[in-house]
Amino acid sequence: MTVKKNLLWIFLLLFSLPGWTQVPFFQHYVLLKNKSPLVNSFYQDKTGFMWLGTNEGLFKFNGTTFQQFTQVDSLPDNNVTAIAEDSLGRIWTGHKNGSIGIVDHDKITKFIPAEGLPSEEISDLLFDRRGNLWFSTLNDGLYYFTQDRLYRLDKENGLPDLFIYDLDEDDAGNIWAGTDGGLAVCTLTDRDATIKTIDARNGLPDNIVRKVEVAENRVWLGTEDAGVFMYEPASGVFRSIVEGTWRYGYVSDFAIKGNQIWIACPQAGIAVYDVIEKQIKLYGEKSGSSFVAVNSMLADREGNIWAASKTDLMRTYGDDIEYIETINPAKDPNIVAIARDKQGAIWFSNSEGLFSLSTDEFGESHSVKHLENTPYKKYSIISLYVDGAGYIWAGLYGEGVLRINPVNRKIVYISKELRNGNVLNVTGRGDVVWLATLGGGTQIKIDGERLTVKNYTRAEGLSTDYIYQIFVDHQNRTWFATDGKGVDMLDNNGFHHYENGLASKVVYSITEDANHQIWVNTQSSGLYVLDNNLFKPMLNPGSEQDDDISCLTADDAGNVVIFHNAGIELYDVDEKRFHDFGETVGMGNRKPNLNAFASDEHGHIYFGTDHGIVRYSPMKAVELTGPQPHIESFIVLDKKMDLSQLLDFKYNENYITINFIGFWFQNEANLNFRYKLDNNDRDWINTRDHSITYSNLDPGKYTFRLEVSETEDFTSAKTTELNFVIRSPFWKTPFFYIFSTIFICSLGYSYVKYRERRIRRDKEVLERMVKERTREIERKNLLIQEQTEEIKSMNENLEITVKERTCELERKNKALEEYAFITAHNLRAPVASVLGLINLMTKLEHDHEAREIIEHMQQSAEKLDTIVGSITRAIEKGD
Amino acid sequence: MKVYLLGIFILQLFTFSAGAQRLQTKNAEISFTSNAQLEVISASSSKAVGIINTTTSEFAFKVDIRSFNGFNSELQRQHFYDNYMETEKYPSAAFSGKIIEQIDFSHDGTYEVRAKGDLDIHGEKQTRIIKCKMVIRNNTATLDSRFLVPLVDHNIKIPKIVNQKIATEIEVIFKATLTTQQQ
Repeated sequence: MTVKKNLLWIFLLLFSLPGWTQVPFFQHYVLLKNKSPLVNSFYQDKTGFMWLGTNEGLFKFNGTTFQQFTQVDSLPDNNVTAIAEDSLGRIWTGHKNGSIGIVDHDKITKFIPAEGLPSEEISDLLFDRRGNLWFSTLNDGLYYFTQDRLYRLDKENGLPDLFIYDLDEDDAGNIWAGTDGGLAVCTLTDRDATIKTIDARNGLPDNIVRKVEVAENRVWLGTEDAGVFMYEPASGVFRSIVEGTWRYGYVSDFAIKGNQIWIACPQAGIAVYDVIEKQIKLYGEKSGSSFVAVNSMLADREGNIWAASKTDLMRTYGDDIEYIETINPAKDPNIVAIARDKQGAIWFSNSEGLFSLSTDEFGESHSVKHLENTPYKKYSIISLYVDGAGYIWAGLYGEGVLRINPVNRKIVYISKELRNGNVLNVTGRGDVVWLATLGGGTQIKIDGERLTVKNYTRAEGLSTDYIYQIFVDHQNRTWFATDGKGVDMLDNNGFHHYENGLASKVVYSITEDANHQIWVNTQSSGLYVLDNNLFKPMLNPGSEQDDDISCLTADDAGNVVIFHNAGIELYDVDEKRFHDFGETVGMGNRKPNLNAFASDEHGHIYFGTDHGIVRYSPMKAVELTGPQPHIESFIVLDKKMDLSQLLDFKYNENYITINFIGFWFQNEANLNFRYKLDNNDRDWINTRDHSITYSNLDPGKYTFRLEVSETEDFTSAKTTELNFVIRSPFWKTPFFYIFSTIFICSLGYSYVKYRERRIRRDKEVLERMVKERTREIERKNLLIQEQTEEIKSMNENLEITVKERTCELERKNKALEEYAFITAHNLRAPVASVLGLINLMTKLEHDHEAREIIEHMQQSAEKLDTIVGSITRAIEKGD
Repeated sequence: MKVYLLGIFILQLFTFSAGAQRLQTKNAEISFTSNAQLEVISASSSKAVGIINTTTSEFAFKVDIRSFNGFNSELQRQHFYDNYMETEKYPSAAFSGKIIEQIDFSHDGTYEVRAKGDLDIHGEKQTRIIKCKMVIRNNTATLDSRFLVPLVDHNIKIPKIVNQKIATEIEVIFKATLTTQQQ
């Protein structure tokens, strides 16, 4: 798709031949790679998807990809000729062979009523407000399905013809059918339908009504030969949208957008009728080959117009922006100044001179060169303006200004009255014209043919003589955009000066918005709004338009229109929002020229650029919806969930992927999303992806919120949300907690009870044991007592015995002592004498032998002494 | 088979109750011209039959292909029958359908009507809306219509060797005067 889009815009630029005169930008779509299906019907469902019924099946489009359904997917027939949606959001398809299919969440089943189905092609399907299904056929009459039964209406019921093209429902619930025999208005009461016919006898200009659309209290009809009509049932009046004969062949479809009706005329192209301006224009073969054989039209909710031809599917945002590139015979497309006269011709100047351009209803433009045979032929025209009387003012580069009568081409040349002949800008209000020059501002009062010139310069109170633009506001105050000195304003009290707040004091343009606020455009510091003598900057958060703003003006509704190098922006004063027209409308590399713009009485604004003229027509009465967020799928552990069911998951089904898109057919690739999972994400998360995965979510209640916007600003973004619940694992649920608590408590309780019992039993056993032991002990005690008595008595006996023995022992001891004493003492005397004798012996002389015997006798005697001594000691020791 | 059905259809129109009004003819004129680069061929027949049911505005016309005369040569005529129109298989051409505009046939006047129906030539049917001028006078309807028949619509194949001699679209002129049923 992008390749095709680039190819198209290269086409537009390079081949700006008479083929491509005045067209809005159309984006082309390719449904299939190697085939070009013929689109029979279009439908946009409540969610935002675009459904296309073709001869190669049914297609579902989300803005980027086409999903194809064919007989392989259970589609009853590959040739889809009608599409409708029921109250449950199911898509119903009607086919060439009379069959009907039902698409529910991308699954297709066949609708097979017991009464059978028609044998002819189904031309239209409709669900009325009560939910009944109506379908029309080509030559098999009109069918309706109510209360489970299928009924057929044919000529016997009053149907004017069996060949029915289209159906629509009015506010009262009547079904209008366009047939080969006029309009049939069917009213259903219970199961019966009554038919009222409106045909040529009632004033219907053409009995063959191919398209019917009821809008408020009017009925719009598209016919075979008489074109498009508006019918008022209340008055019975038919009004054609053209004066004179209809020249565009048969009408196969049309779509209503705001004040415009876009009509598919297969024999001529696309005709666009403006209800308010009562003008019709044609995008036909001369505008491009894709406009040939256009047979279906749809206006979607964004404001796009979709058109399908035999070979193409295309979409345009509308003719908000149209490009006039062919200005033959003028060659140079660099338009320096532009104005629009009261006859509808566009006056412009380029390097070749001054031209006026008229465009016919076929979109063909032709320019006429002016000033050829005048002395002003070679002058450079840098500004243009059409005054209150319809005269064209041409500001020259150094030579003053011309005032041209567009009817008789008479020229009034003003030069010497001006202080300076460099007229950068011409403007005015009523019968006053102002010239912005390099010598201050010049005011010219017009009184018929008399012009009174007054110059205002520094001497009169202007801050500087270099003026870029002058603007007269609704209070008739005159504002001057100066080169380097901010802004001056002239009112009944004289000159006032404003420059506080401006970062750059070089002001290029001034305008006024719906709230009567003054806007200015400065060199390299962007836009400002004057608030109580102080300039406040106005920035568009979504673009970098600070530099290069060449044109600043306001549309009919008072919204501010800005044209810079990247395109046109509209600031909506009510919504306080910038709306961007750039690449999406095929602006390309066009650069606007400084202050080169003009408005017409219908509110269209014409801009002069380096590549021709751009016409901007602000869409009125159309609600500009923003992009729509849509959650496509919700996948849990690789399984896709049914979003119509409650989303309730187990604790371990907590790996979730959410895929989403934004419906914005104009510029799907440029969408910004932000999402927030309540209960998980602390704050909004921005992304440009189309998918988010949450893994390992805790059990809980969640709400997933999604918003989408074209810019970074989400203040007016639409939200969609999805709720789901992850259940706690059973062991985390309160039930479980309570249960287990109870269980544990009861366990504990029973355990305690069990222990109690045990203890009691043990206690009993112990008590028994204790009793037994006590008895034994008592017995033993008795025994011991007896034994003690025995021992006592034995003890006493022993004592007596011991006493006796002791006495005896003492006696014996005493006796022994006496004996020992006596012995010892009795012994001692002899011993002593022996000793002494021996002693004497030693002192005598003896022979050797005798000596030895004496030594031996001494030794024995000493020994004996010792022994007696010890016995004596022993006895003494014993005392 | 189709001709048979068409015959039944026409017969059905004939066997109406006495209340219905019919206008019919047995000698309507059909002439056609092929305006090619190298040759102009024309032929005509005045043996076309047709009927209009004035109550329901339905009509049916039929012509036997073999009743056409006026070719540039007999050989051309034979070729026309055998090779292009294959009259063995498709002996007639027919146009039947309904008149879109509500016409009061008892009211004298000149009307521009559209006849919408199936144009059956060479066995191929095409839904056509053909404009026709109808003058009603004294229960007689005089029809005058001119229309184009693209050969490709009816599967009539022209060999390359002669394609400079035969136009891709044939101009047909149809004139008929229908009166109330006699006999």
